Amino acid sequence: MSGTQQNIALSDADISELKGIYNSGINASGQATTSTNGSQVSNFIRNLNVKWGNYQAYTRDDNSQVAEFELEKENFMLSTRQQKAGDTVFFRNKTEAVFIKLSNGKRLSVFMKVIEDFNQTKKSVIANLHYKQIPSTFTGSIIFYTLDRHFINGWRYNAGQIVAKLGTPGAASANSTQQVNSTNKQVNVAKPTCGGVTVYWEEDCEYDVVLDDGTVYIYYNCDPVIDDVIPDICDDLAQGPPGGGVLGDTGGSTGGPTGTPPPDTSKNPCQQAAFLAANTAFKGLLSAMQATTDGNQEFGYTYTLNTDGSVSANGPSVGTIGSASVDINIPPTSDGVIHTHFYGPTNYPTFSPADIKALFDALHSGDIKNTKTFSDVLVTFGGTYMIKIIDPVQFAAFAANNLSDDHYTAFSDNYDLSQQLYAQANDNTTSYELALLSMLNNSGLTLMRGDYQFGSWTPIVKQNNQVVNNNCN
Amino acid sequence: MKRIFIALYLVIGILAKSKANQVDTAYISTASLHRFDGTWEYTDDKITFKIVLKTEKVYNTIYNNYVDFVIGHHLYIKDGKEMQNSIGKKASLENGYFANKQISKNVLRFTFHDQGKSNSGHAIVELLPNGTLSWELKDLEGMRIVSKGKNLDKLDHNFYVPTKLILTKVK
Repeated sequence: MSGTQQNIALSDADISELKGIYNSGINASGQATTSTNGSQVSNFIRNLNVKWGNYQAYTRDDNSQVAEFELEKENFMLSTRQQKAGDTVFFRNKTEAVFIKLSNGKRLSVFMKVIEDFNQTKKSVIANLHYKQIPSTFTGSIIFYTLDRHFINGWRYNAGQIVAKLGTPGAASANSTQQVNSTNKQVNVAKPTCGGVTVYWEEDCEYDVVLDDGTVYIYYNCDPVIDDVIPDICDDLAQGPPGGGVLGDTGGSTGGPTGTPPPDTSKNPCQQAAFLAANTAFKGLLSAMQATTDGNQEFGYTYTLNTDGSVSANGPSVGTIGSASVDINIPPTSDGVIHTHFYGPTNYPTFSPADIKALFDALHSGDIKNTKTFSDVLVTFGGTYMIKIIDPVQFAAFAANNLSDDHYTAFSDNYDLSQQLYAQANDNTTSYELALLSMLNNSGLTLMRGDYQFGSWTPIVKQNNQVVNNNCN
Repeated sequence: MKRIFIALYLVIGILAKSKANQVDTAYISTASLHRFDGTWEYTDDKITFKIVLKTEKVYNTIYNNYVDFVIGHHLYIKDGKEMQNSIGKKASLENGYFANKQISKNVLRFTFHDQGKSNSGHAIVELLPNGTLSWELKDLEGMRIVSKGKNLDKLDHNFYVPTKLILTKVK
């Protein structure tokens, strides 16, 4: 929360007053509260039972007062990644009734629905999330409704920062087709607009809690009900869907011109990455690839930046099911290569030792036409990364000492050891990032990390055994 | 006599000061790793595959402390013939620690040295609810470059010991 707050205790009379406001509000338009059909699909609030004894109340620095009450859990789970029986689930939901009394005496009472996605951090922070108090590691969506369940607005967050304003949940239904899935349930298959999230709505889930704090659990016996789409509000991207039909296309252009010419060699790596971050077609390609990381095979593309700013993608190269590898041919016109790592408890969330070796193989074989502009991009279940070759000569020397046949096993083993040592004090993804950065020391390569929507790339380095952002100067 | 006391006093003083100047290196013990300790075996008419695991205190050069890792050795016998045996030799299972401690403390990942090839793989072991141990080998993942119709990857991606078994604790 911006500013300061002072916690306050509510009296019985206060709570009684709020109960009156609540009961009046939820019955305002007589909406059904338990229906699961028809127009109710985008109403993510069904269980209206407030836990009146469980609240947080405080006075804000503008003298307004806020009281938040958690609602009883729903019998369904909302996620933005389709789950399969036996999956470990890194989504959590909660609903709060938020009562705000402004300093002028006026009141605002709303529902706050939270869909947390902690696939990246593997640590839920939803318990610490409150109205305008967003933990720095929170990723997911927060949607506000009136007490009579009319959508007000919504926000999508990545690592505590707003990355998109959400449109009305279900509004994309008009832009979707209805199909019947394998379980004979009717689903909305969205035609994506310029962005947004698909919400998977599943009922009567059961879980096996794995850890004591309950942040991780195994999911089974869920009853898929319907998929729904929350579109981003993105009028500034009115040129249409990016990267449509990317997977399965071969050699086609993945999007129209963006009006920005391809990067030239006078640009530094950050400027080149910024070009890619601004290229709608390129981001669409990454987005489509990211969607495959839930599966069990790797995919690869090479791409060429055309002079009109469009991106031609070549691929996909498809790895063997269950095998964490993919063979990729890099045509001589390529400006970069992209591949995925699918989710697995022991799979690399960052570049693996073999990925670094493959980059050198490509360089050594002469398949990289321009080392100064070539990008090696990785899309994984845990993050998105890019390697740029800063110094080809240094990289060649590094490779001779680390990636050649005689040295590669030691390089790979040391990467593993380093990751396990870092894992003592860090989360899984961070331990891999630190290990990778350690191994790439003096390699002539620089590592960048992309944001959740591929809209920015930031070089990362290791300092004092921590991953920190670096500038490009 | 007085000189003896003075000498003792000085010696004790020096020893005490020496101890005070020592920097204690922390030891972070991970008790749950010890559940993997022991000899685990699979045997049938054709093969015997055995691993011996032991939790050991190792120095963490990154954080300047001591931590627990599990190390191990393996024995593989096929048709009565010893195919691979690292017992009594350099550990073939190294750096054993939780594959992802945020997900489960029942799964360890090792760097595995298959004696049939030079490059390493990953061994994943999981303690199962019935007390047995799942053993699985995984090749190191990665992109492989194909250039002019030829795969440039020269690593051996096969394993020369069983890649998936359920082991029973025998010792």
